[in-house]
Amino acid sequence: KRAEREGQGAIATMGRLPSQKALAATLDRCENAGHGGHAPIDEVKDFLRLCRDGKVRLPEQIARHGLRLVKSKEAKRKLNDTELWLINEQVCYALLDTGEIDEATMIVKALAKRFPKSSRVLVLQGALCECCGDYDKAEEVYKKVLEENEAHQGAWKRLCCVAKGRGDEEKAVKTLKEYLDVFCTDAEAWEELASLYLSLSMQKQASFCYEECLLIQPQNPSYHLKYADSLYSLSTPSTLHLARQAVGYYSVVLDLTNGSSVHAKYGLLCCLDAIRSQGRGSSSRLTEDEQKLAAKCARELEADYQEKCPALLAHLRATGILSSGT
Amino acid sequence: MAMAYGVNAQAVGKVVLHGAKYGAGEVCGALLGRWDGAEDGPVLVEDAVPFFHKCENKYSPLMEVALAQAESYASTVGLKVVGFYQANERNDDRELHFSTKRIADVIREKSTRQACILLMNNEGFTALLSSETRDLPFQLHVRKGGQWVLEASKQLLSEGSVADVVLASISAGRQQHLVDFSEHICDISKDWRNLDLVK
Repeated sequence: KRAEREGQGAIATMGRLPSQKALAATLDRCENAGHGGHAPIDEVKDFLRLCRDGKVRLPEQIARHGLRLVKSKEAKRKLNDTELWLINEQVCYALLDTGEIDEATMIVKALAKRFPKSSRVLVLQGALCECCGDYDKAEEVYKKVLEENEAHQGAWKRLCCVAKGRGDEEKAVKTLKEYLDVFCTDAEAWEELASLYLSLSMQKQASFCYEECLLIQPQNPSYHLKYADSLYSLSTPSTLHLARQAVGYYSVVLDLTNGSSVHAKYGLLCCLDAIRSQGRGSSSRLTEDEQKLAAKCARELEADYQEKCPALLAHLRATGILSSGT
Repeated sequence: MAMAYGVNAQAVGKVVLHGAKYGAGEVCGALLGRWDGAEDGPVLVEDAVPFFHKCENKYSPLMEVALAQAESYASTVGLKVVGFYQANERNDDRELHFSTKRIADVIREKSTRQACILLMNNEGFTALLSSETRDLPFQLHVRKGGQWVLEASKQLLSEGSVADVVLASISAGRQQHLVDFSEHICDISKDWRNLDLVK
């Protein structure tokens, strides 16, 4: 019980990201349950809640355990109304992911019965259409929702998904930009737009999006990391100042993660290596601070590998980035 | 361009398992194999290193790091990086995206001139897994005349037993145990070499 609460604390401090350990632990307990393989209701409840809190996508597991819960009479007795229907919605989306259309349809019907005028349920119905490949119908549903409530965020986002599903990335970008004109503080939407730009090889635009994410959530290491990555990928031998900027952001990630982010260390070392090897003239010389930083990162990464995966240490060394500090 | 490319069960198994584990998004990774150096000699793909399931990782320094480490590992088992595999996010997307081609170009430059791209055919993947077919769900692309072109499927050679091994791995749920480079970065105790994953 105490471990669970700590897990919750970790979830709170890490913002959207659940403690991976807490989630892995409850999933493990669900998967390896006794009673002929049926996990206890409370365990499944916790697992589903952690997934909702962290917006974790584990459709196969959520569908399997959640569906049993949804169909169970015991669960209906034990769970309060709100949680029961939240779980129904969650399981339904998971079933759409695994393509179990019949089961999903059954839940949609139950939700529609319980919440007859709900635009949230309408959006779910639209998603069901998308799953069946009927993008025209889905688009119709979402536009209907938006007619009645032009600020319905879920409907906007699903419209973007319809465009993506049709392979029309430019339309998806257009839709998302329209949405962001109104909801400019939706960091997740900026992140999705960045992702779309990356798939269109528009790195600079992606970078702008990550800047927006950073303005909205300056304490989120994930955004600093993505922004740093984008700066690195934009940098060229004649624009190495971008790599230097990236170094700054990777350092922030290390600050925010108590020095534990392996991704940030790799990023940092790659940047300093690029500056050292591609830079011309004075810009190619690392400052004393930069050399120290490189040496420290390299040392920590090597020690980490030595401790946790010694068999892979040689391959880490083969990248050549560990010598940036020398 | 080599005359033919061969794939074995281990390589195909790992690629398919990677796709199965992260069915909702795109996946990519390196293909390891051997080429005897002859102008028209076959390239034999014998192993695969799964790289990413988060598309942003492709555009980050992690891509270069992953390629370098895959090359290093390849040399320890007498192989080289001989290609790149990609499974697109959308079911009906059979296009080679710009990023895929760019990465394969880097592999051609740094590792093997005869490098190929294996694009996973998502619909074929579903057909294989539901036993509608025994055809491997790949489209082979090679570099011809300055561009990446789709090569006829008969140029991708494999033994009949490959499909069996792959299906057996999926039935046994082996994809749960697959580790890609994205996962390794989050927890370095996870081994992206996947040594005993496909039997």
